[in-house]
Amino acid sequence: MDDRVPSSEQRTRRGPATASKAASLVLSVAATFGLAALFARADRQQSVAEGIDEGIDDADGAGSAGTTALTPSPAGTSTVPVGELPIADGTYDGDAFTNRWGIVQLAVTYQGGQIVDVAVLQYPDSDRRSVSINQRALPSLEAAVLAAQSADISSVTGATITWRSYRESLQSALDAAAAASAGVQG
Amino acid sequence: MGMSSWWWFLTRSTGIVAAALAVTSLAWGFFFTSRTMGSRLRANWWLSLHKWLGGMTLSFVVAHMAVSWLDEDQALRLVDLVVPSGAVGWSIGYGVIAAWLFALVVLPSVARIRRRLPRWLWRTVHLLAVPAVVLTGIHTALAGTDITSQVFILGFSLLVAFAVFTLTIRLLGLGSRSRRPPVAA
Repeated sequence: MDDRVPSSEQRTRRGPATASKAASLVLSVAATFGLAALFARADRQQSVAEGIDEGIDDADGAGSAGTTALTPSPAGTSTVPVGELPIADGTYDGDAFTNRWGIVQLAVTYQGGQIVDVAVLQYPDSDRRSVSINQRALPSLEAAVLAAQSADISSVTGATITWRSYRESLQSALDAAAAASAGVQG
Repeated sequence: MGMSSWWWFLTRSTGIVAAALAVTSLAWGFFFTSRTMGSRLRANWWLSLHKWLGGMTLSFVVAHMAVSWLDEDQALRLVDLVVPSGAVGWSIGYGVIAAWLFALVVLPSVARIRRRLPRWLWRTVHLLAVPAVVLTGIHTALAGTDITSQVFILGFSLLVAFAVFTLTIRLLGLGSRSRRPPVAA
């Protein structure tokens, strides 16, 4: 018998399969959007916990994640612009920040109260694509830091995630520099 | 939260759903061929749903690739999604190979090419579903952002256990069939 022509028994059995197919489709689509919504919620909560302002790269650049070089307050947020406090010459390591591609960690060198060098101690380099993206992005970010003399730097297209970690590590290095200098002067 | 973030969340969710569908479809095929699921549900019911799940797996794999390409932060090129290579890391390359294998397994059924293929060739191509699911697991473990989440690890472990369980049932079925004495004339 040609198996393309269903028997009457097969026809009567089509109902359950149709219902199961519909159920699996609805379940899969619901799971996709449900999981995406959960991820979005978790991401928002993490951003709030880390104090990351979504509007950080707005035109005014007034984000809360340290868009200006500041000295640390007891709560970890900075309050005094670096320009008001001379920073002792030296190299200050920032904290390591992990993103989905890997770890980013910087060290900032001050000379005469100015940032003269930003060394990248760690960056995502587990594959050639990451290496290629970061070889393009990291020099641009360093040039931006030297020009701005702060963590107030714009993102680089195609390297937004590395930029976020870069800025966070940079800010922690600036905070470390300010704290060390305050300790010396105090 | 920018649109890029939503593409990223959808990349993760479509990937997870595609992996779950792949394992379910594979398990359905094993259940169907091992003839161990009783007679309440007819063979055509199992086969029809198995084909449907296979088609859905491929659809979600394609959706997973499309949204990961749309996510600018991932900076994936089209060539990265169709040519497996170390250029973007083998964690993604394994996923690309798995996607091609799923296409090889599913498309002949959808396009009704199966009947034109010799039975041995069809079986060989169809068995590529097993390495495809294994590569999907490797891709998930290496590239999955959520692999550090306990809930994800639990779900992933359950899927692996389910796949191994159904594969064992299928292999046991093969063993018992080969030991069956020949029917007397």
